[in-house]
Amino acid sequence: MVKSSYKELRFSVKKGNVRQDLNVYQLLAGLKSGERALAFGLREGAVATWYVRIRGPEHLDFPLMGVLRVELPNPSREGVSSDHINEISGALVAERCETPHGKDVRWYAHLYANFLAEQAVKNGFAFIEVIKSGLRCPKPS
Amino acid sequence: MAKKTEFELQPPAEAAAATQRESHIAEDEGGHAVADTASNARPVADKRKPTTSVIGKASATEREPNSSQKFSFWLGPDVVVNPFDIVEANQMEDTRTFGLGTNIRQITDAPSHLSNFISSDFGSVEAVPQTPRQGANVAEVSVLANNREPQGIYMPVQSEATERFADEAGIQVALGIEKIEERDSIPAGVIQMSNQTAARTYLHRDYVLGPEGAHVNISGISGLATKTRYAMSLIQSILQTIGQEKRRHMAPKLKGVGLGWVNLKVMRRTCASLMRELGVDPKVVADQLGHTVDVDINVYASTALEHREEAVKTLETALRVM
Repeated sequence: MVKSSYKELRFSVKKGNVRQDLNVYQLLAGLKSGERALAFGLREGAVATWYVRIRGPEHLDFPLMGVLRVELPNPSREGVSSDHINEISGALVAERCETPHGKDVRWYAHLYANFLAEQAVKNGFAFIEVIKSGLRCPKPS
Repeated sequence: MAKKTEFELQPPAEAAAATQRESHIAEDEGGHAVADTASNARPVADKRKPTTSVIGKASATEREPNSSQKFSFWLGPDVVVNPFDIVEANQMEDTRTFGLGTNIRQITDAPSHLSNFISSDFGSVEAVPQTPRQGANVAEVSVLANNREPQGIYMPVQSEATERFADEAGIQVALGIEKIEERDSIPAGVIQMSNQTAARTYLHRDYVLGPEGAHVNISGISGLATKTRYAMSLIQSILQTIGQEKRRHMAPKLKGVGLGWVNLKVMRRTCASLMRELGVDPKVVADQLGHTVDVDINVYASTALEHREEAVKTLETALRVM
């Protein structure tokens, strides 16, 4: 699961005999809760990615809320079966109940299991200062 | 890569059955020593080691520290504890601290009820979480006693101390019953806890009958006659205990008013007869004396002399008329 949604991408989608050029907002606007969009390749097919909506937009503030983008490593660069993508998407949709609402501002696109894992990792560090110092950007030489 | 180039609709996945949390705590149900109700012998408290399984561990936090008066402990999954259950915790110097459960709370990491509502798919009552929310049941306990002699340890129960249901002997330590001499013990009923452990309880006679006499406070739900029934059972217990000990307290008083010859049976018959004269419901009289109505009326209650005379006069009057 990744949080960035590639807002700059454009999608060429053929519906019937009509081919449409859509941005990500248009692509996901009609996506209902529990549905996923088509998968496409990144990095020359080394990663398969697709969008899946785990929460309906009717309860949320803007269209991209409640939508996850999934990245699946695909070292063979061969096609990934729809069944496999559906299975992964179904498991993610099943995780929609229980949310970190009130604990994480991105609760609408954050799985509770992932939130717990993040908490466990964060709590495992002795000092937050150590992490912050490790994340400091190097000064330009 | 997916071969399809159109939108593919993925129906909502059925949520899988909630993962059952695994317990690191052994089961606590059953297997406990239960009082042998057929025996009247007082159980001997074994202070050396507990006999019940671990049901949780003490928990002290920044906001809710343990103290000399109370402590908290989290419960293992599926452990059932009710208010008024008596539990014990490992205490310093290898002793045991006993306490009375006063409240059980469930805590979760949900910051508000709204979070729970939203987590349930915005109010869907059918929603079943795949990953259960983090939470635990926490019991609040009021400290009763510690089993170190001669003076108990009343340091706060330390966090992580193991918790168990008290066994019968432990319950009696918790309630101070083990310190009551057998000759001073008045049977006061049986306590039964959530894990079915039962313990006989006793009152000290000096605090019920003797010169130090106080009172017994009975509380319960109104309208079910439970308090009344318990009071009558206790009176019966007191009467039987006094009878067994040759009316140690009552005999001198009876002798002082010239009724030294009166035994317990005469007292009971007098009691039954007087209550009948006063119009007390026969069932109540029978219950108080521990009989059926039939036995009470036919054996214990005697008809007053005045009523007999009145009956004879009525008969004579009727005969004259004839």
